[in-house]
Amino acid sequence: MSDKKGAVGPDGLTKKERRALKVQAKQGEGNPAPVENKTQDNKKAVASEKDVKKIADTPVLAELSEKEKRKLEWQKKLAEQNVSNKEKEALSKAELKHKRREQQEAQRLAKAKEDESKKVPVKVEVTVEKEKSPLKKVGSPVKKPDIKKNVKSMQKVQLVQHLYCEDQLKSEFGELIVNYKNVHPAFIRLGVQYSTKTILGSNARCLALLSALKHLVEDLHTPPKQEYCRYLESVLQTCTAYLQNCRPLAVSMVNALRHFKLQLTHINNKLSDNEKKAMLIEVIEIYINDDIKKAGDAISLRVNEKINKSGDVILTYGCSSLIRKILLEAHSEGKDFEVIVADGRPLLEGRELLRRLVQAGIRCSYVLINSLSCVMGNVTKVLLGAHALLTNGYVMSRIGTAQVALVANAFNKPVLVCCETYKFSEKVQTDSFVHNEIGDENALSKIDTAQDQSPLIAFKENSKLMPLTLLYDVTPPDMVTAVVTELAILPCTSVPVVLRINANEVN
Amino acid sequence: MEEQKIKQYFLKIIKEEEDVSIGVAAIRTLLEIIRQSKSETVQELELILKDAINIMKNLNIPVAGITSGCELFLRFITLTTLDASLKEVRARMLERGQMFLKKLNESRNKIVRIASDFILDGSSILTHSRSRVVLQTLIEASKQQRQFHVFVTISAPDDSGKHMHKDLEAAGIPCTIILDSAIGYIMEQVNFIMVGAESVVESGGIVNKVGSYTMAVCAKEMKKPFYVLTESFKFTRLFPLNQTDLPAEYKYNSEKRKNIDLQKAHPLVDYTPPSYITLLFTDLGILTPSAISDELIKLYL
Amino acid sequence: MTHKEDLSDINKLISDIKQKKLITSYEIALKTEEIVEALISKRNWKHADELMDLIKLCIKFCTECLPQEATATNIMRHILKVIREEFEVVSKKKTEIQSLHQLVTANPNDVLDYTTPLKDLKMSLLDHLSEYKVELETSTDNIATQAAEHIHTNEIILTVGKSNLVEKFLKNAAKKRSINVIVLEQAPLYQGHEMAARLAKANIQTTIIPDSAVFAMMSRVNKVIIGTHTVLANGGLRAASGVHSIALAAKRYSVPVMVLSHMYKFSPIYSASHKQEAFNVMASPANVLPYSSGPILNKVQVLNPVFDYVPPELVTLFISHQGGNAPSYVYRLLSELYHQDDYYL
Repeated sequence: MSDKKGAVGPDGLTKKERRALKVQAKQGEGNPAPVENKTQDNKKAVASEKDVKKIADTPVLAELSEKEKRKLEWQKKLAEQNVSNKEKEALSKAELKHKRREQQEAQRLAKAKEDESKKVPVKVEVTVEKEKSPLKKVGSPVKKPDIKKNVKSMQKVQLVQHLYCEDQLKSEFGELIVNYKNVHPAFIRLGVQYSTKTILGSNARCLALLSALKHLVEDLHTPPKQEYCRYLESVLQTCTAYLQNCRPLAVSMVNALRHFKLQLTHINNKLSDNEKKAMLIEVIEIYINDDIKKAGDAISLRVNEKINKSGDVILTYGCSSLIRKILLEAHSEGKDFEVIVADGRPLLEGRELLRRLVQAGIRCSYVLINSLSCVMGNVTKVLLGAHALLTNGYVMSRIGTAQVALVANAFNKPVLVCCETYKFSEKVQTDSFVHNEIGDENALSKIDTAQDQSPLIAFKENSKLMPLTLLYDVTPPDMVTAVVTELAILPCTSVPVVLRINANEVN
Repeated sequence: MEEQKIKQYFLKIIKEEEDVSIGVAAIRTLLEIIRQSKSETVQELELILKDAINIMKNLNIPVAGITSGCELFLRFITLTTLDASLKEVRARMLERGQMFLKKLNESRNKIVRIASDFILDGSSILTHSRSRVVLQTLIEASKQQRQFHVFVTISAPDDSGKHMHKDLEAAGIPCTIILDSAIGYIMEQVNFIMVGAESVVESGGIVNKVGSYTMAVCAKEMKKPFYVLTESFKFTRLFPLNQTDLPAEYKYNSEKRKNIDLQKAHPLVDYTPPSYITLLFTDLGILTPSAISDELIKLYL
Repeated sequence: MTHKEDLSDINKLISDIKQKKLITSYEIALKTEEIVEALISKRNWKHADELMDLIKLCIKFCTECLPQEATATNIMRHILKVIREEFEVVSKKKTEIQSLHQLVTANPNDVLDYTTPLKDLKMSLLDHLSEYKVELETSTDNIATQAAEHIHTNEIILTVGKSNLVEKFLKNAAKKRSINVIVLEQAPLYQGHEMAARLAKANIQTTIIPDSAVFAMMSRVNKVIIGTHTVLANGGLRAASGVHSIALAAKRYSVPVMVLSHMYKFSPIYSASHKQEAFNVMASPANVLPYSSGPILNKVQVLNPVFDYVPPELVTLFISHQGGNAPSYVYRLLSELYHQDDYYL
């Protein structure tokens, strides 16, 4: 969670800072609370660095001027020690020096004017404020509510502190303000769609990205003295940075972009701009057709072999476009099965899947994730979609998927995860905290089935109460019976094999 | 009573009355011995009984039931010795013996009553070898108009499963016989397992026909409940640590013990540890394996 | 004594429970105890057997009308045991519970005849019952005071939904240590929201998460502390829906699961069903899929079970006012609470 060097304790301060504070507190000086100091202007953040050095120098000077005083004090202390404890006589020189330093620092502080005393707490604040400084320079009116929110999120759920997007500026209305200069309009729209969660699901997001990319390729006019491909790359960089700010990129999107960039470097420089554009668009089309659409068809065929002609009860969770495709195709082949859709808050994506399946005429049941133990007895198979498959065999998917797999295991039901190979990632993760995304904190207080308002509505007033919504979780491979990909039905642990094969093919 | 007569009496009960378990047959034999005995002292009587028990153990009959039943009976008897004349003591013993026997005969009915409630409509049950209690329970449940299916293992080497199969068919219960090796295969289709026990040990585990341990391990892995139906007189003060720790007299017939090298002989019974057993249905009620040692402690200490 | 007259109190109790006028098990327990006390003091009964028959009748009636509600019947069963005990004390005779020992040593004349009328029985019964009432009232506080033994500083505790017992327990612990609590919101009733708000008011650092996040969060949780609706005879639980998956996740990460429970929640019932549906009660599906969803409501089956069966292997500890016990010891607690003959009525 945090590295040893800057080990942050529960109150958000490093060991050094805590000790410094303790020293001040010991002398009972009324040091102004650190929070107030945060409102001080940021210029000091830069200047404070110099001040820190000053502080380090002052003790030396003070030492020389107060030599006499200290000598008397020291002698007094010696006398006391001789009377009390023999062990204390064994104070080493270093310890004495340390004591001396503490004393005169305290004395200096006592003598020092307000400015000086404030510099020390500012030293504490440097680490905290550094992360916020680029944002603060944007504009002052946004500062105050901003700071409060960021301060609040700093105090928030310790477990996932590292996941909070400190770079994300939110306005008073909770809307995201991201700098969108130099970004292609297709991408701007895409970014908004992502951040408002209009487009959900890794396939959908990837397809939307690729279509926006096509627009970008078409519309791009190279400025003079620049080469098309290099220029495209730089523009793409700005666009993706923008998207990342709106909502962290999905693994499918990252893989698609990587593929595209690779193809970009292989384009023959001697072709005209229009020819290059045509080639790139073809690359994108091929990728969409092969790696996404045809892969989906292949997976659907394989899973359909596993679905019995009649009597199957299939459980699925959330809304996966691939699972929907599989079930619709199986139904159109005339197979008689029943589907149980499990759903989880706060996104409640399962309702969307439910609508589509019912439209196609499939017999469906709908439950929330807490009822799993009750319905699992009747289920014959569990089909789950995935956001990504990690190299160590873990399945990263919508939050709640791991729980479905766990309960299915407890009832000995086979769990099939359907995932195209383009979603295989080189990341390695063993728990759901290391990499994740935090959802909207207001989402939990909105309940559409309850009459009364939830008491959580007022959570912002109480600093002790925090709603937390994570978006993803990882399912360990021993809970998954098989992963169905377009290549074959694999055990979960064969992911690195496939990645190796893919890498070889590309080379 | 001489040795020959004891053997005859004992074997006669076993052969003619199929419904009677070995333990009860042993106890009846002992009771008969007391009735016919002409000994003058209580101690002599006790010695005669102990000898008789040894004789019965040396016939080619599984020993588990005999041991526990007779132990309990002896304890029962010895608790009644008073400072009275032998005639009175003997009369007392016989009276208590008859009462004990009566309770034992009722015990099976009690078990059948509580166990049949657990057999629900539409269930699939797996059972091992031939157990009278399980048979009675299944028959009782089917009398209450419940539909269920039973899988029975053949249970080599004496193929007692076939006998069970015949009895179940005769009672009109749909039944399938399976190979002992097909237990793992069939496990995903059954809802729960019901077996009898030849002996219940102090740890809460059971000693039963060989193959029960395999079935229990498989059940645990597939998360199916494993129920044991047994009368309370089968509780015995034994604590096996593992299969090899089980006494040889339990595992092998007396003849085998004399003749063949035991390493190469097939055992008759195996030990199932308590962690694999979900519940035990006894005439004392439904017990968890941890309650068994409680009962035994109350009895012997 | 006409049957109509007998059961009017019980009738009122049952209808109050059904109409949700008595919601928490604590309220139900107190009300039941009052009714039985009234029964004992006001009715004309000549001997213990008659009184016991009366109470057994009440138990049968309750079980038929409210098969899932065990609190009332458990209290009445316990009172049956109290009657038997008092009878023994007053008549100075002893009887043994059924066990192997009893099998072996019993005298045919040992069975107690409850039909002998005893003068002091009524007084001693009412005394005992008033003690029992005090025990019931202080039970919550007794459990809460054990909090400091089980919760240590800076621990992260996971709990589900709303339970008065757990709330008091955590507040008690928070007085002496600083703890972090993660509350699951528990759809579809969302009682977790209220619990979280209350805990936060008591200055406990609370995080509220949706039910789907349990597996993800479990790796960081130190303890799971929950309440339950009923404790079954094998040490398993009939708890709120969703608790089974929480217990499974806890088992996977070896997180101890502690169940706080009053003694009257311990029930001598075994769960015969390997299918959860037979054991469960279904609530209104409107809490799962709102009516505003439109025409798909006709074509979809919506399930909203209220309870969950949690097998005893997944529970680490039961905490009652007498202290902590393992699930394998529940059978012993049951034999202390109820008499063997009253188990199956």
